[in-house]
Amino acid sequence: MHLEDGEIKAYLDQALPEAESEWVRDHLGTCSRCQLLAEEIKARAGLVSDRMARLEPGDSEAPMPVAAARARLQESYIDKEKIPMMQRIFSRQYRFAWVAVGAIAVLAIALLFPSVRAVANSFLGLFRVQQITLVTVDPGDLPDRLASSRQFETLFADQTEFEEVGEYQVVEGAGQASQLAGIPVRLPADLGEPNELEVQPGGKMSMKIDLPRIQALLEELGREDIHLPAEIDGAEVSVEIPVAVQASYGFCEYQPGEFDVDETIRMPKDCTTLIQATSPEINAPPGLDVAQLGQAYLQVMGMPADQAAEFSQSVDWSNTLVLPVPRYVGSFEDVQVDGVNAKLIWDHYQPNEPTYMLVWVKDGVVYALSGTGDKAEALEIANSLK
Amino acid sequence: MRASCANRSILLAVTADEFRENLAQAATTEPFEAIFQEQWPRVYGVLFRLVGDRAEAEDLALEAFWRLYRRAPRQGDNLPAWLYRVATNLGLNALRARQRRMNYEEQAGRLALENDSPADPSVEVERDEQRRLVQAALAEIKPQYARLLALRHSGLSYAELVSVLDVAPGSIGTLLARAEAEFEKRYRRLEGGE
Repeated sequence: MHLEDGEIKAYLDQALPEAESEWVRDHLGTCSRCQLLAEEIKARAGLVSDRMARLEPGDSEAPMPVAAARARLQESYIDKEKIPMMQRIFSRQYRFAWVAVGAIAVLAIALLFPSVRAVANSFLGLFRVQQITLVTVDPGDLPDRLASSRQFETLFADQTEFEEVGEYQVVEGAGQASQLAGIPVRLPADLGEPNELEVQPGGKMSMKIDLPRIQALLEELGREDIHLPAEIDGAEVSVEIPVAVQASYGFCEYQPGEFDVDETIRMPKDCTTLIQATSPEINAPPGLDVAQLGQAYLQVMGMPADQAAEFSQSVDWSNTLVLPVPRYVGSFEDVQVDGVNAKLIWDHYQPNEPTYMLVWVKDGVVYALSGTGDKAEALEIANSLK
Repeated sequence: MRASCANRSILLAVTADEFRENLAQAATTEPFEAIFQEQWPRVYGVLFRLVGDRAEAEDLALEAFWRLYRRAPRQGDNLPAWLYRVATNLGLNALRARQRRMNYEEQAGRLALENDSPADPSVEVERDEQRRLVQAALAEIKPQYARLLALRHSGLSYAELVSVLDVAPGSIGTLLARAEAEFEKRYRRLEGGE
């Protein structure tokens, strides 16, 4: 019996447990064939070490000190949030940001999931997404100013409550995901098994609207032209973000696949994700002038008053998710997926590679598919849901 | 209404600024900072070996830490191991991309022209030439072998390699022996001018 390459290599590197090391040493003392092999391995290791040593950073090539590096990480990465819009848009934090924060603010409680048609015979109105409408807007800096305004910070301070629902979990298969999310989870057959299947927690938020504060804020921002319905004052609104399921395919997190001796590691360039969840729900008192609220929301997002009014009247706010797409962020088109209308949004942040997000609602479930590729690829994946 | 627990406060954020702040807080607690302090020079060292350029290696190292920072923590994670996987993926991608570009330029005759220009006698130029040869060999062998060699020669132990590569404890010797054999073959071929 003779020694293996790997045993000899580990022995030479002094990486074997003592007993084993001793055994190898003894064997080498008696076996000329293994000795020869060991010489060969040693010589080769010498060559490789010598050549690899040439790659070592020289004195003038030392990295910046750790404190400077940490500061740069903060400044250039963390504070800048170098995350493309598409990846952020439905990410756990961002989904919540959309509701809680956002480019958008209070008005938009009603906000992205604007609102609330009064249901005459019930105390609360209920909003559920049944369709999605996109509008192009030129938001300018108002949403940002609104969100970073000091007053905005205190807007619901006394009156807002948040609660996280469910917890983050990596799950094994669609069955477990379905159980946790309470929806029949569907996955694109075209993409094979997902690299990762995650359940993202949802949340509940409720707040009491303080109209005078909002008006003062708009005034401060020079937007007295935006009017809010008077009855909104003191209204209690709750928003419920459902637990969502995210399936990731490809190179989403630089997570290499299985390392196998004779297999090349997978280094796919692209990442495709599919997120699915039931509709968010918004409850608000009946009697709100939803169209006016919607108009205000669109104005904040940069739409001229008359256009916002017209659009707002034409939308059924009780079941329509209105997503304002800033002109500089992306463009969109109407397509058909799975027998229903869908919106295909192109992300202009990614000029080199066409990056899309496809959103649609089917049987009460909101789907968002994002990835890189052309329209045909996006539709093929979306239409292969099983 | 602000919760004290960092993770929870992400959800409780109200404004965009506060939201970001909370996110940062949640992520900048241990062990990220400890890992950054400990691993920064070594992660840089691994990447420098692969790309041979200080600025690029620093950028890639920051990118790797950024991905670690953003990553949702999971149970049973070995974060440094994950970090080295990410860093070597980034480095190998950069190395191979550069090699493709250089091959293209070579085919287009641009390198030949450069080589015809009067040789700069400086030590640095010679060192750069030698490095390029080693890196070219690394770019040509299987990525997992190149990863293994870069990590091993940056000072990672067998035990550390086991966790980074996620392989059986006894297999590192075998993998290294194969990686070195393949490296030698490619290197000699390149050195011979093929």
